[in-house]
Amino acid sequence: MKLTAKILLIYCFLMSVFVTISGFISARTTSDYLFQLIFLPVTLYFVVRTVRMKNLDIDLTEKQPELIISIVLLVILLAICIN
Amino acid sequence: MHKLITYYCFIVVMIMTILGFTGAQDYRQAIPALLFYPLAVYFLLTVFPRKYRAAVIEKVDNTVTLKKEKAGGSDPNRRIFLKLIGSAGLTVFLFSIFTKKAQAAFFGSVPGPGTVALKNTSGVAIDPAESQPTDGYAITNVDDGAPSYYGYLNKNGAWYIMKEDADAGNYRYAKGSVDFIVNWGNRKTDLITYGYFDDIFN
Repeated sequence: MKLTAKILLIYCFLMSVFVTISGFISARTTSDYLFQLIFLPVTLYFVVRTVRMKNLDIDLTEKQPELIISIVLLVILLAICIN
Repeated sequence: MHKLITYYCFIVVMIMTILGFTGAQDYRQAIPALLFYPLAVYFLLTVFPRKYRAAVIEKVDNTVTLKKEKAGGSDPNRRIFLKLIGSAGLTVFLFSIFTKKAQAAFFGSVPGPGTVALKNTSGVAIDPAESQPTDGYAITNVDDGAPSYYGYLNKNGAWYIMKEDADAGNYRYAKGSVDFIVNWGNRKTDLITYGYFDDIFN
């Protein structure tokens, strides 16, 4: 489960960096830059977490209920999206 | 401080995820939201309080203190969390009201809900409703000879004739505002002057 947690952390790190970089590159107006600044702490959080990967925030061994909740939430969001 | 940052990231990511899914109008627009969803899962797993299993211990004076310490989240953290929800949610809500391109800003060049603007190769927005010179004209007469002539007429009586020279591989145009029938009859004569599209419709 630690490997899964590490993979999730690395994916989140890559995704947040991609969103930040692509957002800043494609930003045209001041409001676009402001939104990217709002998201910037998330990217910095993942950068720090990835650098300090030895101390993981999450332990998936006792998180089965939360994982189920996240899957249910995903299904609900997909249903909203399809409708 | 670490918890503050975690809660802030959790709120921002959840709002972006929900906006991404609710704003998607087809499956292509849902893909970025789907790719972004693991971040929300990560913070869901991080923010949810850790469960403490009940320990069976003998009744001694210290157990009361121990149970109180393990009872759950402390009040100051909940107050901070609620304040963060209010401030971050209010901020993003205000931004979404005053800026119409919130989702495009979050997801970069990925289009969000609302008006999708067309851009040319230079990146300049163009108006697809802009009328073209030949808008509103309907084909009226055809002469399949060599060269071929195609007469177009609009509802106001304006006309244009397209002359096709298949051997030379060129198209020339002539236009007018009235008397299509007379001018169609003169299409092969020197009375009608044909020219390039930009010269005629300029």
